[in-house]
Amino acid sequence: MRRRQAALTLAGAAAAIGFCVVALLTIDLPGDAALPREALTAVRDKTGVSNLVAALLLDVRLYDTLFELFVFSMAVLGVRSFLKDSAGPAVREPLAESHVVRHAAYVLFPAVALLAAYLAVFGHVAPGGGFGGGAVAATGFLLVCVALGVEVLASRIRDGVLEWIEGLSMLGVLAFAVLPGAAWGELLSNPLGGGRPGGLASGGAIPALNLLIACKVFAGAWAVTYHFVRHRGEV
Amino acid sequence: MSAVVVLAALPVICAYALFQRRRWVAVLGMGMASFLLAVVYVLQGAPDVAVAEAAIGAALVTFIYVLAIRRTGRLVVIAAEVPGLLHRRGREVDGVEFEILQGFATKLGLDLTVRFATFDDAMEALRGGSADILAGGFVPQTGEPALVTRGFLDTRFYVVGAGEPCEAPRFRDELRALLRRVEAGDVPVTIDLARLLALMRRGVEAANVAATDAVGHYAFGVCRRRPDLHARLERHLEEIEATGALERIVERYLA
Repeated sequence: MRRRQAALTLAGAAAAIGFCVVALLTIDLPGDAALPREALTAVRDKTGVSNLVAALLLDVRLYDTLFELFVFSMAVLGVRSFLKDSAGPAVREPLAESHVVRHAAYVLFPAVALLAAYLAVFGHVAPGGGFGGGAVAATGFLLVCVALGVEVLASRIRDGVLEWIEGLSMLGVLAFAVLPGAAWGELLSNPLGGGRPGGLASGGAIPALNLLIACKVFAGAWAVTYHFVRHRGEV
Repeated sequence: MSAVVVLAALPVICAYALFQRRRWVAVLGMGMASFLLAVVYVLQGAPDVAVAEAAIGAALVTFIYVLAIRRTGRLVVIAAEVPGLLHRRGREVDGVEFEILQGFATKLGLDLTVRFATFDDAMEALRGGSADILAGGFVPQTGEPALVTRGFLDTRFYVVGAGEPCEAPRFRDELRALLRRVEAGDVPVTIDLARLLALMRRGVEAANVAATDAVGHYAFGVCRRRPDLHARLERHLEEIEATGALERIVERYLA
């Protein structure tokens, strides 16, 4: 039995090393050559987006971003599936929080929500984007959780509605990623891109993708936190 | 140059967070490390990455940790207020039991939270799991609905309001309730030494007090769902007794 285990381990290690060697030999690494300025200008002109990071993530390498979203969706789906039916301990009463924390949460929440909206809406013209915006929005909700207790907030937000928002956001991202490209004959591209770089109405589908990703990240982050907290019954 | 300075501060902040016993401080240290990293990204011309790092590392993850340790990071003690053992002094809490439990909480890296309640409410909270430890002059009797630790201080029982020792149910509630009862003439009542001393300091006539033969010891009750906590508290009591720390604490408050 031990020999068999050792043989399997050796075989696995050999396969992994072999994979690495093949990958190193076949992948054409760019080295430390700097990306020519013309390439960056070309990306900006093609997409009409002044934030080149957004242009790369949501146009040139949309394929990678889609798979990142799939990974995130799978994680959220896993948490929902495993924790939905498992009976956790009875939810205990929320801990009393000080007035300072409670009032600070009330004062800070609108500012945090505004920042999240700004990051998502202006993600193609300034630093930010859907991921950052969604994470900031989820942070705002967690801030309110700290002040009021998670159950109080959860009673005002229907988990089913958030599930729909998350699903529809993912469908929206897929639609924006696939449909225009399919219509114009090039998948995972942004044929509607263009406009004056730096303008709010530029970049074709990229602003919409940013907003949808922000909705998805916010709904997913909230769902994961809420299910963990509910299951453990510790907040 | 600025980025190098901030980068040099990062390991220091990380080490500070790593070696903190108090979880709150460690979480704040982690958040600070993420924030500094975001500053490095900004200085290096990567504001998008900085936004993501600040939003996720410094804010979201920090808040998730705060939510997670809000209850698990606290040792919640519920008690009837008994001067000398566990009592309020202005906005602070003080007493023999407080010092013992504060040392225990520090050892576990937890923040001690003391809530005062009537004995019945305290026992109910302990049974329901919303408190971890029952204190406040708790002298265990047989069949307690909680895990009981070893005694840390011996006591004797006295009857207040009777000419001679007699059988009366033991009073286990807070001092205010005892005072109300004595003033209302609802006696005789059997109380332990700490409550008797507190009563006498409030001017109750010693002539009405008679000692009984009954003895007991002050102990702590632990939630039945927390046998691990019970075992650790037992070990802590054993240690402070062996080192003489317990004796010093008792002398400080009850000598």
